[in-house]
Amino acid sequence: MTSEGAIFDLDYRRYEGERTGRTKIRWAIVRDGVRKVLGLRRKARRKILPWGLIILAVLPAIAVVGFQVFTQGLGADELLEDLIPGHADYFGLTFQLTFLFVALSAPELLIPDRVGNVLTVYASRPLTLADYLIARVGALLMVVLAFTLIPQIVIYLGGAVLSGDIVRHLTDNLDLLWKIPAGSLAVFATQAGIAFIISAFARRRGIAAGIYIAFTIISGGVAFGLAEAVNRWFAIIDLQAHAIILIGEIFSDSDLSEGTALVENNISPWVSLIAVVVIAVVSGGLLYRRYRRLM
Amino acid sequence: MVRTLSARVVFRALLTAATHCQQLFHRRARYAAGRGGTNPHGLASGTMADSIITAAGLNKSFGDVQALQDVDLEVPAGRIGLVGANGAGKSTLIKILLGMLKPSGGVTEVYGTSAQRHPLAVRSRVGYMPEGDCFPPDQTAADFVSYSAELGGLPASESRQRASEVLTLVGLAEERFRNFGEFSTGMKQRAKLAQAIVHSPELVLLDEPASGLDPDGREDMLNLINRLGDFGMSVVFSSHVLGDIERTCDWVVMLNEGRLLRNEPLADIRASNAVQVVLLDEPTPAVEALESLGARVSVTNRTLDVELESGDAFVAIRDVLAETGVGLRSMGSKETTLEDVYLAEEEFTQ
Repeated sequence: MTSEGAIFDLDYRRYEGERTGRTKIRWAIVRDGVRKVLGLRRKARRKILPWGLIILAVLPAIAVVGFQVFTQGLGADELLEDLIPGHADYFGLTFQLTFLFVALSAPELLIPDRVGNVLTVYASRPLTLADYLIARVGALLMVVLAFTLIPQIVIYLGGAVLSGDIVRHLTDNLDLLWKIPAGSLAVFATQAGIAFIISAFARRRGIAAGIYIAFTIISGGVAFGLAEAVNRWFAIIDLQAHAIILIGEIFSDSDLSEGTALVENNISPWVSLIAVVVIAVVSGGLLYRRYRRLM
Repeated sequence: MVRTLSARVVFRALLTAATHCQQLFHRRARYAAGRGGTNPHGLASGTMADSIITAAGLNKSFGDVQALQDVDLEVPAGRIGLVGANGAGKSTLIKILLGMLKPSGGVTEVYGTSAQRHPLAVRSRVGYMPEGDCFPPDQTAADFVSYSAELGGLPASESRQRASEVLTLVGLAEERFRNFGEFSTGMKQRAKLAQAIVHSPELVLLDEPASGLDPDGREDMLNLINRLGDFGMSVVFSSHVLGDIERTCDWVVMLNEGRLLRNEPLADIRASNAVQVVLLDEPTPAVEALESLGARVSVTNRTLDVELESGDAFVAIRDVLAETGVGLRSMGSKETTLEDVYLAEEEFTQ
């Protein structure tokens, strides 16, 4: 045993290593965004909503696979085929959940940075406004893709395992490898732009989410009303329907979009594609314009 | 009586010599440290080649409000105080140096790089501590400072380690896993400083770092700022509390209503031609005698501030005191405070 002790003052150690470039910095912002949205490294209550929605989106997929396992030996495959939802149906099933997920996530990515003046920190670092916005949009894209893809992957892999011939199942359904991500992208492109624009102006996350949900729901009703009363082209105001129509086109499943204002008014799916692109481009421009004044 | 008088004369002679030595020492020290000003021989040192910040004809207006007007600036490395009242243009100047604001006219360079044309290159060498809050309340200090390091271009693995070290340095080792929402003002100021230095910048711009702090917190913050210089970082420290600048900085940039009032070493600002004399006896005879020699004398009780247009004020005072027999308690060069200078400059500009 010794009575001697030593105090070590760590002092300040200069970093002499190599610095990362802007690509790595953008990835850091994407990672931070994903953590924010999912409530990672945050208190437990911040995890409840995002993870609750994720579980709600994935559980039915697990149930579908479980149901297939349970009914496999019953010899009623043709009958069950109509009962068990396919990939396109599953997009339809989880569409409202994805909508809610985006409504909660977009404000989380933009509002605390702006209201908490964190933008000042970004503005003082070697990155541009475009870097910041692209990374924030990238973060939402990642979580929305994960949100929509995970249950689809569960169904896809479940189907492959149950088929008995995994390789054959995968090769037979090779088209799904682009269709599923394309469907997810359609959902993201339709919903994210408007959610971001509302979040760029609102000061509270809850209010931004509420406005987005109300705006989207009302747009559906207004589209029906105006298309019927004034002109059929007003149907394009039905924002949610564009994503559903695009998913229906991607999976060649017209049942999915039945009952939407666009289909009821015989608006071509190409119009939906153009509408989605326009929404994305205009939202991006408005977002950049708004943030150029702030950062 | 003769013994008392001769003792006084010797004392005065010693004081005079000491004062001259002190002034020479200051000049040598500044020259050696490359802080500009004059060398011991009174010649321009030409150290502005080592300027870390330069501005020429800098203007910035927000609508009708002129935030900066024709600011020309050359600032050397070291601890630089940016002084001015609220609204003087300090924060605007800092933001222009970071390339966060575009000037209405003029140019600025930081380490020889244009802040307007290459803001990212400037920001990779500079840290910034904003005046207001800049934290997400639901994030821990360790997470945010680590993230700030990554934003400054450090690899993720290094960032975590450095965040921990820097938070320890600023005195937040225990609190680093607490959310910012639970932080006091003092803790937030420390965390802001941590995020400003975590990526190892060469220059740190601190915008009112001691605002809102209690006396102990202010003391700690000033000590931390002093230490930054020891770590090889240059510091620009903006404040409207002149005492804080006097305690911390060795160079002063003084702004008033967007105009540059002073840009020079603190020691030069402090130095004055006046001699401060504290007397033991009634000062009137000495004051009258000094005024008859053409000296400007201001009297506060038994303390005189004496300024002589020509000739050595120390010698004149010595002779006057010897003639009038007024007792001397102390005598030395009057040190001007930043406040004196600021108020005088402000009065002059008005």
